[in-house]
Amino acid sequence: MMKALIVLLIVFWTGSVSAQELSVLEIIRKIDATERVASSKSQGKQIITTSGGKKRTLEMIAFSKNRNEKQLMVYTAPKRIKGDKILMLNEGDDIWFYTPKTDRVRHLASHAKRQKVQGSDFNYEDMAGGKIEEDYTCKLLGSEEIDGRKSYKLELIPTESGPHYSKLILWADAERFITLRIDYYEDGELLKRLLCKDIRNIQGHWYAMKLIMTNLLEGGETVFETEEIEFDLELDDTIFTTKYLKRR
Amino acid sequence: MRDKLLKGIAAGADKKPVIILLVALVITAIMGVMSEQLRLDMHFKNLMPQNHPMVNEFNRIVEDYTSASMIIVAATGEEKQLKSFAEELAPQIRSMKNVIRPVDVTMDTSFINRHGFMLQKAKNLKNNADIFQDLNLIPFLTHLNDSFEKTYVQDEESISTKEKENNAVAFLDGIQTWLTTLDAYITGNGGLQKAQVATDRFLGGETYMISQDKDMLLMMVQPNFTINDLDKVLVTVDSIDALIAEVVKNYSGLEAGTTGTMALSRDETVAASEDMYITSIIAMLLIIALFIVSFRMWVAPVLAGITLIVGVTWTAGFAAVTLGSLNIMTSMFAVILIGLGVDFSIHVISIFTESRAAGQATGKALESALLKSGQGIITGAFTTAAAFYTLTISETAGMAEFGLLAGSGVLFCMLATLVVLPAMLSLRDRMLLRMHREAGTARTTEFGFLGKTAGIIAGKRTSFLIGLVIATALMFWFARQITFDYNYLNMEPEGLKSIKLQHLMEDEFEATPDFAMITAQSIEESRRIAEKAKDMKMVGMVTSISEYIPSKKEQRKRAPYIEKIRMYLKNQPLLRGVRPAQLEKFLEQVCRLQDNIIELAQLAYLGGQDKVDAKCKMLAGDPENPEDSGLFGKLYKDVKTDTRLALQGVNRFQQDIAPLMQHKALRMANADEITLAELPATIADQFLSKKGDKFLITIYPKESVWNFEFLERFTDRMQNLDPRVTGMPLVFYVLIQKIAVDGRNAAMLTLVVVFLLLLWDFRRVSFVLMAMVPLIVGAFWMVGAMYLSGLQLTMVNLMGLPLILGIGIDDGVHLLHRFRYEGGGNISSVFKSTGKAVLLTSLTTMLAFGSLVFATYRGLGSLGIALFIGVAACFLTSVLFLPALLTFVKTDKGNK
Repeated sequence: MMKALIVLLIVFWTGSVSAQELSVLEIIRKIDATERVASSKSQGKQIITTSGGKKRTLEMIAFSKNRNEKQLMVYTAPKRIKGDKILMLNEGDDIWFYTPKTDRVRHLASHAKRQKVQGSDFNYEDMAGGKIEEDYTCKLLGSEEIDGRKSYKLELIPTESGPHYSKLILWADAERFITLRIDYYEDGELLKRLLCKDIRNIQGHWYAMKLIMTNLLEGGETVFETEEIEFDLELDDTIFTTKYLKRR
Repeated sequence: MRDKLLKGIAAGADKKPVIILLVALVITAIMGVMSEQLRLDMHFKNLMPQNHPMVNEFNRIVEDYTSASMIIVAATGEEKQLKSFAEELAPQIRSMKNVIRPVDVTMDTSFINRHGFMLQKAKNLKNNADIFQDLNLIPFLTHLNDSFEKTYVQDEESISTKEKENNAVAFLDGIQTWLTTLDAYITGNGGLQKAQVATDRFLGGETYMISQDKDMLLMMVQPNFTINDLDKVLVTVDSIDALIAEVVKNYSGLEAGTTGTMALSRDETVAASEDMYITSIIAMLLIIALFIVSFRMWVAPVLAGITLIVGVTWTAGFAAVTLGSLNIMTSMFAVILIGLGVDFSIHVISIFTESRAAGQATGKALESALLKSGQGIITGAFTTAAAFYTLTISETAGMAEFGLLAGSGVLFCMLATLVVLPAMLSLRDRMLLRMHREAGTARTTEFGFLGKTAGIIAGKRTSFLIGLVIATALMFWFARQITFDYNYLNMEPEGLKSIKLQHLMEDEFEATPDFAMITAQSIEESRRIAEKAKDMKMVGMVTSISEYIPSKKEQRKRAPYIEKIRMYLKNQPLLRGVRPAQLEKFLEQVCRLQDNIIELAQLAYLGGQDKVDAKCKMLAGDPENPEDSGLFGKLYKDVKTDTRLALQGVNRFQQDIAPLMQHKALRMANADEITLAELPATIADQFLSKKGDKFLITIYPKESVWNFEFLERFTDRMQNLDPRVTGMPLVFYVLIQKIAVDGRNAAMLTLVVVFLLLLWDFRRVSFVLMAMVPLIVGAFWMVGAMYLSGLQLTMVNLMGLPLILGIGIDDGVHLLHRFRYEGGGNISSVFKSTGKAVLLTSLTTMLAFGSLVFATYRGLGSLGIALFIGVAACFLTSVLFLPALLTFVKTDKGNK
């Protein structure tokens, strides 16, 4: 789920223009128009590092609707967390947690968006939706090759209402219009790097099946891997309700 | 000039051997007495550059803060036994004269009792205040659940850092004791004492320094000296260990010992000292065995051994005067000198016995021996010593001291060989003559294969040279593949009890000695730095005085909540018994508490907070094991067994614990401002300098610093945080950088010095280059062979590279000297005769270095293996390359 959400965000940021003469705005709008998907259902895994230094793989099915405004994660493995669910509404401002072990739904406190998603190097705001055009002031820095692909290099400076980073540098595939890499800066320091790998065309959508977020300042890496994904599904709104959480 | 000198020495030894030996004996005795002052100090900090700001700061902290020099008594076993053992041992340690402060068995609770609530964050006080509204069990549990949900279940951030995780574990630990006591009352085993413990643990936490799963306990012993006072460290740690051994006899199944920097220092010193003796003896025995096999003569090894002892003793005396103490690098000087020094004796004895066997008189034989081998010995000794001396340019004290000691040692051994050995050979001949016995002749084992091989190589030089160049290119490629082992722990002795206990302590308490330290000038500065450090993802935990003295602003923020708690406690409703009809309601709240803990466990599992997850399992059972229902399962079972008895127990529990809770919480609900003067010594000493003007902040990394990438980033981040930062991992990081630079510089300088010395000796560039080719190629072969053997470069064996440049040159020097002495021409005979000596000297050196494998200090072992391979590589390259190269040289017959 998380992966799907992040990819959606990346997709959101990614431009789809074939010529250098397009303006930055056109590139960004092209990205939005091409890649923002209305809904998705994915199956994948997240690899986290525990406080005891062990690697733990969590498997899940994730749903998203309204361009990440509503998100649901259903954990499937390991057995210990099978059936645990996390529901995020209002772009992560409201979070509910359910575990079949107690059969209770708990409203978790609203998280500041810059807080880290459990066990990972992603922040909630990395996963939140939102228009790149509204959240950033953008500048085209030129074109570079990333993994052998020609890509646009964009500088994104967050607006006042945008994310807390001081700057993002985003590389987007100039043909496929999908993000290949993002460098996150905080107070002028390169903080972390997102690499989007194993890009495939699924139902007409270019999609990165593997996301690797590396914390360059302090170390640590979080990997999201998508095994299957479907786009533009008719997802019932009831899926994204607290009542649905209790459904087995 | 040199010939004249050598002839003079030979004549002196022939005529006045007794006087020479007596003078040597007196000098050796004096140096021996001086060497008694030599100390061992194996802390790797001693390898650092003198006056490096980070080391100076480290030493200042050790001197300024009593907490920096602690002896830790660590025990493992069952909880009750552990606590009882600690209580029995503590007074005995307290009576020791070198221990200034009462031994800390439990934490000082007086301060917590006075200011417990003021030390809690305003957010937590806000969430927790209602718990004290009504101490009747049902409302108490209801409020406890409300608080739990607000603090933990509804706020996953509350366990997101190691500090928060520890706080959560302490909170759960309090609940665990509270529930265990409740269960004891339900089963009729309760009592006031248990209720008091439950109250203390619930409100103040565990007072013993015991691990989360209660199977390891620590006691802090504060000596009245610092770790720099090594003699006192040795005596005191030994005495405490003796006391532990005595007390532990009364507790079966319990194991205990000392750990911490002082105990480690003691163990390391003892291990290093044993290493020095054991490896020296092994080296000596192996070399004697080789002598006996190759010379078929027992006198040769005895004489060579005496010569070596003299050389090593002179060097030890020199070390005592110039250095005062030995470090991890210099501690192996004896083994290195045995390996190198014995070579000189081999050359002298070999030729002396050959000459005597050929019928020469003692004086003439001595002259022959010194003239034929002396040139090579002097050049070899000076080149090796010069190579060692180049290390004195190193910034790192360890390398510089090693260079000085080993370089001087080689010269002392050379001096002993040229002066003492001939005198002994002469005296022995005289004694045998008086006894009308023939001097035994060394019947040396023939090494004809060396001559034959050299002949074949010389005959097919082009093919061999092409083959050797290809082999060298391959080894060069392998050499480039070698990796570096940055983990200093892999250099340390294996199997030491203090180290085992330390590793166990790290696992159980996550208390690693590998932390960073910063001294602040004020409490406010201390708070600023600590807060910034806590925000760093790579930081696991930060301890500073600001934890105990919150800012005035924060204290003002907390005060209203404390007043609210106080008001609740002063106006407590009367205790009402839990009626039978209310038992269900009571159990509902217990069940809610269980659900809360299960949910926290799930969130902890998803977030990777292992400690919280483990603690939750103790309470609510293991979710992956349906059989394990935890403490709650037992409680329900006990209630069901006899509901009437259970109800009685619940009521008795309420009666006993409520007043205790009210009394203790009232004491803790003190809204008065906390000042520095109020801090008890046990807390203040952890953070406050002896003068009371500086404040120590300790920053624990989140993961092992022995992952070099992490160490590099950690050091960088810490230096950004505050440039005054120091600490073992940071000192180690700087040390590695310095050693790499020093090693490279020393290697380059060694090559230059060796080149110049050889030029002075041979006076022909072609000979110098021929001597150096096998050396440089040998160095590549050495690293390539290390890679092929699965070895890694380490901080200690890295030093082997400049060393091998000084040691490996000897083979070529001796072969080239003999080639010139013989007037060139017959390469086979040069390699048959001198090749034999070179092989023997290489073998002795390899055996000596190889003996370091038996050192418990694995770092020394890694150096020993590296040098073993290096000497073998240089021997091989000398006997393979030189026969081919020498065919290109024309030597005048008169060039002897």
